[in-house]
Amino acid sequence: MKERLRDLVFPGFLLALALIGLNMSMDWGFRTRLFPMIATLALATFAAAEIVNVLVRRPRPALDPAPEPGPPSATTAAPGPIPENPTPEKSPEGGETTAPAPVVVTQAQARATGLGNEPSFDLKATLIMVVWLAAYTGALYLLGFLVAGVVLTFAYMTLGRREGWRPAALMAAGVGLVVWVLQTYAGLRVADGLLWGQL
Amino acid sequence: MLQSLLDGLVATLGWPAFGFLLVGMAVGFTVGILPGLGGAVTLALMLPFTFDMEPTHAFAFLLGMLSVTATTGDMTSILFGIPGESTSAALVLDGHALSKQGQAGRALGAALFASLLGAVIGAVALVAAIPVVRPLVLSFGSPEFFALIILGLTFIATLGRGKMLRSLAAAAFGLLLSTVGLDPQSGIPRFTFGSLQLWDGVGLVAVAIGLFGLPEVIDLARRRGGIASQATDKVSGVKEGILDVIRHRWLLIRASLIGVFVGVLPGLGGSVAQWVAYGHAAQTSKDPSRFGKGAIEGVIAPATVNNSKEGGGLVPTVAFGIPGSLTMAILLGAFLIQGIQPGAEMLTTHLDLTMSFVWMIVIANVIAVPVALAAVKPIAKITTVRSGLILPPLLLLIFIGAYSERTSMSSVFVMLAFGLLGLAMVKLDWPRAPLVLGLVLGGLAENYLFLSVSRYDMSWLTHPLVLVIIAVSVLSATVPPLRGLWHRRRSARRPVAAAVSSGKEHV
Repeated sequence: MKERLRDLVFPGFLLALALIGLNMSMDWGFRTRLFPMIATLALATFAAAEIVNVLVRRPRPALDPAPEPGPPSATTAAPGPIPENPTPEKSPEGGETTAPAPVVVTQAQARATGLGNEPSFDLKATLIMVVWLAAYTGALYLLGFLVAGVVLTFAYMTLGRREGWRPAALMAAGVGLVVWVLQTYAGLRVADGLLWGQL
Repeated sequence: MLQSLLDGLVATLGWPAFGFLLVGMAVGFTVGILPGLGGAVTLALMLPFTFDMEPTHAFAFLLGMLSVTATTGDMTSILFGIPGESTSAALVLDGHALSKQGQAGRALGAALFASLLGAVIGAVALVAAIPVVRPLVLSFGSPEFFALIILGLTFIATLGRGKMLRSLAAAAFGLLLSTVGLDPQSGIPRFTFGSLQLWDGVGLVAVAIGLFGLPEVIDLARRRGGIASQATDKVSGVKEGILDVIRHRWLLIRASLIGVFVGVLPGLGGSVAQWVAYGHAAQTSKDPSRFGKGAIEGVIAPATVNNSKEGGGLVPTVAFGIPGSLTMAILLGAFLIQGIQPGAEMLTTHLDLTMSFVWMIVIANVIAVPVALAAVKPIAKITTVRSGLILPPLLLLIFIGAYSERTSMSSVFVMLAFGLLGLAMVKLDWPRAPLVLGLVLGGLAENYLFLSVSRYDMSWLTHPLVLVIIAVSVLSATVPPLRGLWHRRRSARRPVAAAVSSGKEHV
């Protein structure tokens, strides 16, 4: 039940978005609204179909200790088009080949060997990093890229990563130098910071 | 065409294009070795640095980087069993097994030499495809291109097996996002919610960095220590590996062609191509039981595919403006940023630029492979760097990348918003690539739709080629789920039939 509710969140969000979009596009002329309407209708259709799909599907069984191989698009390393009953083939290098054993990499193996394409998260580490990102953004807005880059790099390395102050200071100086070089010689335009304009 | 090929070579070797190629390669080297940041994310991060460049310089930088990431990603797979790129994952099985047997040099020699030859074959395929594709592209009008974009999106979405509806919804969401901003025809603001910052639309760079870069950074922040505990000390037998590639030349050619073919097909991408080639190598081997235990063919095939797919992937991107993968979608974004319209122009007026792509891929690999072979040990030491030291410059790069797109903090906020969306999508198991593809293709699709309606009203829907392409789109979207349903029903019926027959026996 909990899993089903979780699976309904994102399609529900998309469906709401599509309906809002559809409603907004009604006010525009035909040519202006044609493509947005196609996109919103497609989004509403697929999101609604996904909601139905989640509602009618059977509850998933508990986690299998020996997971099945997943699709190629998932984190699993799929073995490619190996037929279920491969017939012996003649190798171009010469010589008769025997029927090969299918090479299967399971989800578990994929995780164990780090083959997964998708990153993995734990909630606490994610939240901590989100807070750091918010702090970084705020500092960039107020102090500008040069100062914020130096200050936040030092703060993150010493407080967030428990690195020594020497490597942190070196890295902060390096970051500052890179921003300064990019600004001065590469013509990079970055924000100077709201605070400096007020002073 | 020969003249364009020569012009392309001159443009690639000219200064400063060649310098940008080398800088791109240096970035690609590092990114390929470090896990997490893939070629696509790095491409998005580096895109803002190309805004003021000439097209040849920009693509020398981007393609130089892209060509090398796949090659160096193979090295960590072999040496440490940790793929530097998701497209190098198949190499872990046999490449790392060979390393454990003390044959790291042989595996590296085979992988890098196969990568080089694969890249060359892929680039040749791109050149060979041009005379075939050009008349087809020139015969296409805006209705056919619009239908092709829909077909491309459908292909990409339907390939996410078991997640087809999610992929289609994500692609539609991307299309909807592409309509944010001023309508290019009427100038009416759409979905801007009164914000002037949204008049220019939602930036591709901010979205791509947010969706893919931020979740990777958060994942990297979770890790403590380096990706490998110690650097490798013994690397010998490189020559033996190169000779292995020559011995298995037919496998190399077949794997290259698989790479080109998979690259041309929208949606499959390198992560799948390597396993297709690996499976093929296992199938055609005299002794498949060696696979997974250190078979050199299991190294050659995926390494070859990794680089040959780039040439194949450029064919539909350049000729039709339909990217086959996320990487190609971002590269298509670079085309549009540079003011280059993919399609007929790339095969006629800008043919020398297209040809320069061929040379960029080849030259980048010709330089990268010997350098990688010569500097295996220092390169491998990069993997021992702690993530705490990688993150600060990475964070800065992410923020600079997002900000530079519009020179505005609003892009940073867009990036953060899509970063949170990316996190949610990963957590809830929704595919992210179709969203970016929808965003990139949305602008082109709307333009082609507008032209089609303006020129033909609604009669363009009855064009024979449009009907065929739409029919293929509908079939590709409906056949896989119907087939799945049929298989499920059949397998559900089987136990019942078995129970009935066993019941009869008991009676």
